Amino acid sequence: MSPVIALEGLAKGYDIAGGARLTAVDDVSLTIAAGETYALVGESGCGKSTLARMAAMLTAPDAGQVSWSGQTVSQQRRSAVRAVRDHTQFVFQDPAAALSPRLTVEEAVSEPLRIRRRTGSRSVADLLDDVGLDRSMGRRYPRELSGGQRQRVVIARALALEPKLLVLDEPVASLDVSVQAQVLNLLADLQAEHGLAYLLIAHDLAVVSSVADRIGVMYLGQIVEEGPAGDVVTTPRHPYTQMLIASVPAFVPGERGERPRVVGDPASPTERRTGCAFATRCAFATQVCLDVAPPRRELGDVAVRCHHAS
Amino acid sequence: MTAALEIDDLWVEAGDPDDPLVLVRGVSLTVAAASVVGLVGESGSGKTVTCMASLGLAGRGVRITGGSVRAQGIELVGADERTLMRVRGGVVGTVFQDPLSSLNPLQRIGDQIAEAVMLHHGGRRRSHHARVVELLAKVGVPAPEQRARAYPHELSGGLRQRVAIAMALANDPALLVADEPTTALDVTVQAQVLDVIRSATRDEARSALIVTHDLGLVAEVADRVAVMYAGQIVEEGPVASVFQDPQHPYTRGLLASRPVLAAGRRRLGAMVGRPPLPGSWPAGCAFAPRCPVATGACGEAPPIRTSDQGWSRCWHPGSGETTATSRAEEGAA
Repeated sequence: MSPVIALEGLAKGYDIAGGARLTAVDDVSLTIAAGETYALVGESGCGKSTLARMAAMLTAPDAGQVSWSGQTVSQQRRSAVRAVRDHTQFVFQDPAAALSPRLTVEEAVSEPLRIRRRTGSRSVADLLDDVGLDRSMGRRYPRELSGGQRQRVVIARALALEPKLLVLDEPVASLDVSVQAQVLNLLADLQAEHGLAYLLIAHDLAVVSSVADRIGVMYLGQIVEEGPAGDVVTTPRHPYTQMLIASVPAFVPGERGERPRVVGDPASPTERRTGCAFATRCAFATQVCLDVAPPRRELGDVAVRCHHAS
Repeated sequence: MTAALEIDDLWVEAGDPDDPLVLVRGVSLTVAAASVVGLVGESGSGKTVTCMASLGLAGRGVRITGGSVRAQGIELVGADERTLMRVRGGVVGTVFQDPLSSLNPLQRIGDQIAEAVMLHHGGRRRSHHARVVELLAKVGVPAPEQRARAYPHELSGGLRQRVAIAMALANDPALLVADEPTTALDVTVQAQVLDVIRSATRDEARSALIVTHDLGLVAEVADRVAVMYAGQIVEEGPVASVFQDPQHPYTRGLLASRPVLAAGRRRLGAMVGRPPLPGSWPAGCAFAPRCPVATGACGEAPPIRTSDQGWSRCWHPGSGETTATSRAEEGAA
């Protein structure tokens, strides 16, 4: 089965003030199949969001290509780009910012169809059903809804154009703990029903481990480790992944304070560097790490960019 | 030994005094000397208001209508501004969620920390330079001598929060009050800031009250935990016993809905509904409409049951399993 989306060698950089160049994404490849959740994790500024924008063809890559259902999409053909944008919908962290305060729920959910002058196969009432909202909510305004309800409206709106891929950018980070689980469960149900592919961007590895099929760990624009979620979480190979996992609160009282120390901040993405981007924070770094950029290596089902991982 | 903080039957309300919006209903909480207490709750539960009102920082229109708050034995409810000024920053150091908003963008961080020392010890800014460098080193700021001359915008989020903690510790307070100190930070940085808080408390026999929605953080640093819901504490006890054997169904639900790091996709134990906001708290047990074990008795205010080393406010403590819920039920949230 061909994947819904395949990214091949994507790269993106920006010229910034002072003549420096910021490398946001550097040679990233990944594929996501229908019904699959691919989670990107990493610290702020690692390039997760730029990568998602390139997948949705909202940002043109400097290099590399994007394929949908096995077909390479040309950046030049506007109709093709537009189709990709329709097939990709976003759900962001803060639903209050994603909804117009002047539109009712019904207007918000039907807006994508109105803009595309299409009639969807599903009515607004169906879409609200899908996300577990009562139809009577259609006449309400966002301010009359709770955070969890607003995020459901955003999800219903995202489904209106019957997308193939949802980009979920920290979809539950702003919600109350007791509501987060509800929204995550809802997303899992919708995925099963509609065969949606999810690109999940999240920093919370505990959340990620409970919903993702595959995990890609990003560091300064590169995926440094990628593989089935279970492998990455239980036997992390890259020192950075190990450090991220060590940072997750143990949640077992008494186990505190005995975890490896996390050191430093990420290096600046504007710095020119040879070698491994993580070497400056890595406890295992040797001379080769400073001199030679580690190539992508396959270790069983997992791919790692590290000279020393085994 | 005097407790670092003793909140006794605190009531807080806002709005029109004739038709007030009750925010906190009779909260009692003790932070013993050299102990760390986590105050946990969701939005609207009153956890932040409890801590802000206790320090006289609740803001306009929010007033304490009953109860008492003592920091190191000093009564703060009804205290004059001079007493409060002496306590805040002196006896109690505070750290907030967003370090950028608690630092002055136009002043070098060293000068800001020196100012915090000056307010309580007098002297001139320059005479406190050594203390400033010492504080920055203590919270793990690399090259403290140089960093003291930096402006907040030149620092990363994690470093800024370290600076905020250094400022809170400037006058060696007996109690540190931190409101969501790691929420705005990256996970790796969260762990580092937690280490700083841990050493500022454990290693120096300092007490802390940490207000948070994050149960993981509580497990990491606190000795005791108090869980707030609808303006009341519904359960309080040692962290280990509350996490392993929660007595209140709300605590149980919170623990079940928090994903843990493990292999394999799985359904999370979602609670029904959402936390009620002030002004719409149900009568009797406020959690009853969301509670899987609620009965007719829950229409009445539940009694306080003490257990081993803690207590809970529930008619059916320690009973029942959280049940799976339908999508429509969850959507009511």
